[in-house]
Amino acid sequence: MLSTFNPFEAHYDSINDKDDFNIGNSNKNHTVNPLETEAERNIRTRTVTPIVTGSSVAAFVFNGGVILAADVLGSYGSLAKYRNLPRIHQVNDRTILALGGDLSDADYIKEAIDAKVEEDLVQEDGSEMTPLALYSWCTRLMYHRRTKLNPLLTSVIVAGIENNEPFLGRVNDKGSAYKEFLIMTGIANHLAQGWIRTILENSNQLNKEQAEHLMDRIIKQLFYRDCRAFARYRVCIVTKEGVEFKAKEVQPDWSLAPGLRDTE
Amino acid sequence: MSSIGSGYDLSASQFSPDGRVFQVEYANKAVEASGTVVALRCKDGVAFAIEKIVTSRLYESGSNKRIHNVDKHIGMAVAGLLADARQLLTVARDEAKQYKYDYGVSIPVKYLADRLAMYMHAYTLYGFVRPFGCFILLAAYESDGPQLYGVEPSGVTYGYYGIAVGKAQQTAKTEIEKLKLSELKLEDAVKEAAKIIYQVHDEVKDRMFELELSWVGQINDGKHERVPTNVFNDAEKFAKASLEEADDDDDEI
Repeated sequence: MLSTFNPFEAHYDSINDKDDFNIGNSNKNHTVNPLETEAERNIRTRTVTPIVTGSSVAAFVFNGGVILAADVLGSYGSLAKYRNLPRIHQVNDRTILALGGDLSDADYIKEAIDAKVEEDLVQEDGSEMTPLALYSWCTRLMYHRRTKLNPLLTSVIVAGIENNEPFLGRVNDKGSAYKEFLIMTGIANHLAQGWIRTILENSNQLNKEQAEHLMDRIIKQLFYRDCRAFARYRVCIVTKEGVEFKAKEVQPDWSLAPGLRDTE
Repeated sequence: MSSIGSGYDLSASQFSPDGRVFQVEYANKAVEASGTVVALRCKDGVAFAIEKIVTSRLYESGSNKRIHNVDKHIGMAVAGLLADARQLLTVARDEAKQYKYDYGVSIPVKYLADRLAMYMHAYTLYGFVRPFGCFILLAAYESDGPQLYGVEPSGVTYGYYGIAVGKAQQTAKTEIEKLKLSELKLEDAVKEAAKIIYQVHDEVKDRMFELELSWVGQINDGKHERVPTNVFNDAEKFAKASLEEADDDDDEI
């Protein structure tokens, strides 16, 4: 079919021309460029994309405890902007909070929880947030925000010791949640969930040393494959004896890389 | 209408002919009827001691606390009506929480005292409310040293080196003035405070009382908390021992 474009005919910008019926029969486009911001015009705007982001969090239950790991990078798009932002936080002696996704939202959640912990503390009745309580509370917070069509764009992992048993749960940005012995957020969920699950299911309950060793392997594999990963990371181990934090760094071996050229 | 207030005490918004607000004075009366509170600001912290009068043997011990935490680092002791104090506690906690949310640091106790004073003052201005019948003491250990503030029912606040409020405030204040507060260590201040409470307690009028002790200072990184059991026991022992000593002295005379 021949092109119907006629250079002698008036050309209307069908996107910008608000006068659909062209009542003025004008050839000009009268698009008004508003001087106010959208907020000033009472147009509600929301964060729909995360800005500063944290990559994956990996966590699993071993015999007598929970182990979590996450790197300390805050990415600004693909830029490795903030290089010392720990994402695993201790809430109290038996509860741990790990966050991934939008780190501003993560900060907000952390502050809200810290305020809550303080509130409980000054009450002096001895009650303390347990991992299950915090998990449930996070579920409510995240679901509430998604219902307001303004979700917090993070995934929250709650870990710790509940009734002398290891606890591990996760809440996503829409408020849906589950408890599992193995939880990976972000790209780790695609890269590491499978082979780690196989390892964990076939091994008969790892001990603490084995768990830590396996976690180092996971982080190393993620560092190789995840473009937003960072070599420095924190490992957190919760057992009945208490909480232990370790700062570590991946020692990568790229000697294989030259041999992997032109493989496509 | 011929009695005490002559009708000028029905509302906090009306002066009496000689320029007094009776409602505020009644609030002070409620404070003076309360068990004594002693607060000592010493070299490295602040100690609170409270004589909590127990009016019946049927009460469980430990109920109706009169020392509270506003924040991790701010202690609040109360003389006067406990129920009124609970509202002020809630207000103080909210104020502390909001300050931390806004500025990211804990509220300086001076600001908290000012804000609480403003809140209490507002309740002395209108006909449809009555002033709070309590004297609030606030203590913290901050970067520039120990702090002790007191807020009166009228909404006036002062910083103190040491203060006693309640039934035996006069005698207790005299005792505090004998201490060298600038040289006293917190461990000893707790003992002295406990001693004063035991000294001023009137066994004839109120038979039973419970001692409450708390501290905030360098010793526990500026956290306000009830003193540990061993410190409490030591302080109580010290207080009782010094009482017996005084009794012996009396006998000799």
